[in-house]
Amino acid sequence: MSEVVVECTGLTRTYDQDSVPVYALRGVDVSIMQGDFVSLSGPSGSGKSTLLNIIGGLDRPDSGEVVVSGTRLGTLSESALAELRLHKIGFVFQAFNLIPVLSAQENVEFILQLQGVASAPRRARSTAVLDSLGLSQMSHRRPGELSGGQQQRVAIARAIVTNPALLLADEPTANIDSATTEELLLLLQKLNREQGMTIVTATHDPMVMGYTTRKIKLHDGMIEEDETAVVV
Amino acid sequence: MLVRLIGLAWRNLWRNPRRTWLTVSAIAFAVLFLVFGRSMQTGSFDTMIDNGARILLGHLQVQHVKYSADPRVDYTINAAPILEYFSSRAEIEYASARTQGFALVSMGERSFGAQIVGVEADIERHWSRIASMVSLGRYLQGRGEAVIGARLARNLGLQVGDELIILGTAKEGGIAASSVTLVGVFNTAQTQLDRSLVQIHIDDFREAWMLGNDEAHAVVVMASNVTRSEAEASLATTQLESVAVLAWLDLMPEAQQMRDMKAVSTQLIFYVIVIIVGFSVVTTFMMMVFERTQELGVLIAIGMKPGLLQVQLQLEALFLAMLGVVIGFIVALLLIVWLEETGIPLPVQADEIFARYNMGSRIYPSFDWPALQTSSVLMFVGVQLAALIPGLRIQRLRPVEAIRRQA
Repeated sequence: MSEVVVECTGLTRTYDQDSVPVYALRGVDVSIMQGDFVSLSGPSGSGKSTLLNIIGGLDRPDSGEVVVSGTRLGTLSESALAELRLHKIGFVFQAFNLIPVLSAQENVEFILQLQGVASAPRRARSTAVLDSLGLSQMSHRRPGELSGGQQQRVAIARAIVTNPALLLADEPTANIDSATTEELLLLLQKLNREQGMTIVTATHDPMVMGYTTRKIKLHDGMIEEDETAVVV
Repeated sequence: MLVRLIGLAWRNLWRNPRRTWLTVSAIAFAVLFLVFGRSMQTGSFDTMIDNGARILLGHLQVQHVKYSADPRVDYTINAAPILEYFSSRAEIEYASARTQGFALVSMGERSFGAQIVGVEADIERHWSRIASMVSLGRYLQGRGEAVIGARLARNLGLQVGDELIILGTAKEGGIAASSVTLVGVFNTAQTQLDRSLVQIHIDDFREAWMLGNDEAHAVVVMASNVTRSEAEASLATTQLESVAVLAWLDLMPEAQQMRDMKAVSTQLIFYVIVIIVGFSVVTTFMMMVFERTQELGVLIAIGMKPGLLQVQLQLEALFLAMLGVVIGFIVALLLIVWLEETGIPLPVQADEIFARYNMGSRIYPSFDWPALQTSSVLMFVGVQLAALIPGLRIQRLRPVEAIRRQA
C-alpha cells in the first residue's frame, strides 16, 4: 500500500483585496499518495495555486493543517520550512525562475551545494540529471541563452536533482509552446512512472491534465472533483 | 558554500552594470569628497601653523625649564649640546641658538619698549619669514646691525642707516647697552611684532647682556614639516635632560585653539555630509535589493535558508563598498598628490586677509589618512546596513509574497 506524502486537513486561506476578503480556500481536505501524478485545475481564483503554495510551505493557511512526509508544516519556522523544501520538495515555476547569473549546470548544482554535497558527487549528479533531460550540450549556458523550453527543463533538473519526495509545479507549461509542452509532460510522466516521484501540478492546460493520473478540480476554494484515472 | 555565495554575489553585481556603477560611483564620490575636504582642511591648517612658526617661533624650541613661565634673562641654557643633538636628526632642517630680552630702544628723544632677539642670522635667514618680509633695506648680515618692525621704526622715526640705542637689564642685574645700525625694516602684518620686535646679531646680544659664548634662551628648531616636528618634539623631550622642549602647540596655543574651534565646525559639516551621502548610498542599495525581491523569494522557495540569503546580500554590499572605497581612495590620492605639488590659488583680492592668518597665496592639501579610515568605515557600515534592512524585510515576507512582488 502507498504511503501518504501530503495530508491536508481543513485548509482555509483568505486574502484581503482592497479590504475585501477573497476566500482562496474554504476547508480543503486532500491526501496525496506516494507515486501520484496530480493535476490541480480550475478557473482563475479557484485556489489551485494557493493550495500548491501551502503544500510547499511557501504560504501558510489561516486554519487547517498540512503534513508533508510526516512533518507538520504549521509548527515550522521559515528557516525550517526552507530546510524541508531543500530536502523533500522540488519546485518548478511558471516563469522558470532560474538564477540568471549561473549557468544551467551551476543552477542545478546550487541546490546540491545548499545541501552540502561535496564537489565531485555534486558535479556527477548534476551532469547525470542534465544528460537525462537532454541538456548536456547546454550545461554551460546561462538562462538568458536558453529557450523557454530549455529553461523549464533546467528548472525541472534543478527540482529533481535532490530526489525529492514531492515535485510541485505551478503552471509549468504556461510559458512554452505546445511541442515543448508535450516533451516536458512526457518527461514528468517518465519521472512519475519510472522513479515513482510524486508530482502535483497546478494547471489550466487540458494537455497537462491528460497526462496526470489524478485530477483534482477546484472551484471557489473547494474541491469540486477528485478523479483518479486507471493507468493501464 | 561560502565560495559559491561569493561568486554569486560578485556575478549579481554585474547583472546590471549601470546600476552597480551608479552605486559604486556614489560610494567613491562620498569617499573622495570626505577625504579631499578633510585633506584641504588639514593642509590649510598645516600651512597656517607652518607659516606662523616661520615668522619667529619655529616648529619647536628648547628652553630653560623655567623660562616659558618666567622669561628672565638669567634662565639660559647651554646651546652647544642641544644644537649637536639636532644636527644628528635627519628630519630637522635648521636649528640655531637665540637670545632674547626686553629693553628700551631709543633714537634721539624717542624711546619705546621692545623685545630684543639675538639671532644666528646666517641660519635664520634660510627659514625665517622675517628675512623675506624686510620691506626696506636688508636682513641682518653681521654684527652691529639691527632689523626692526615697521611700526616701531615709524614710532621711533628711524630710517635705514640710523643708529639705534638699546638699554636693558643684563644677566645678574647689570646694564645691557648696545648701539646698532638699522639695516632693515620688516612688515609682518602682525601688529604686535611690527610694533615691538628688534632682531640683532646673537653675539651683540651676548656681549650686551653679558652671556657666555654658548649661552642662549632658546634653541629654535625647524623640522621638515609641522607633523614631523611634533614627533621630533616628543623624542627630544626624552633625549634632552634638564631643559624644556616646547612643540608648536605650546609655542602657539592660540593657533591650536583656532584649529580646535575650526575642527569642531568642520567636523559637524563633515558628519552632515556623511549622513547625506550615506543616506543616498543606502537608499540606492536598498532599491537595488528591493528590485530583486522576487528573485530572492525564489531562492528561499527552492530551499535557501533566509540567513544564508542575508549572507549573500551582505557579500554583495561588501563588494560594492570595496569597489567604491578603492576607487574613491585612488582618485582622492591622485588628486591630492597633484595638488600637494601645485596648490590651489586663493583669490588675489584676499591676500591681506589670508596673510593675517599666516596663509600664503595658495592652499596645499595634505592627505588625511584618518579621514580615509573614517569614510571607509562609514561606507562599509552604511552599505552593510543598507543590505540588512531590505534583507530582513524580505525574510519577513512569506516566499509566495516575495515571488509575487514582480511576477
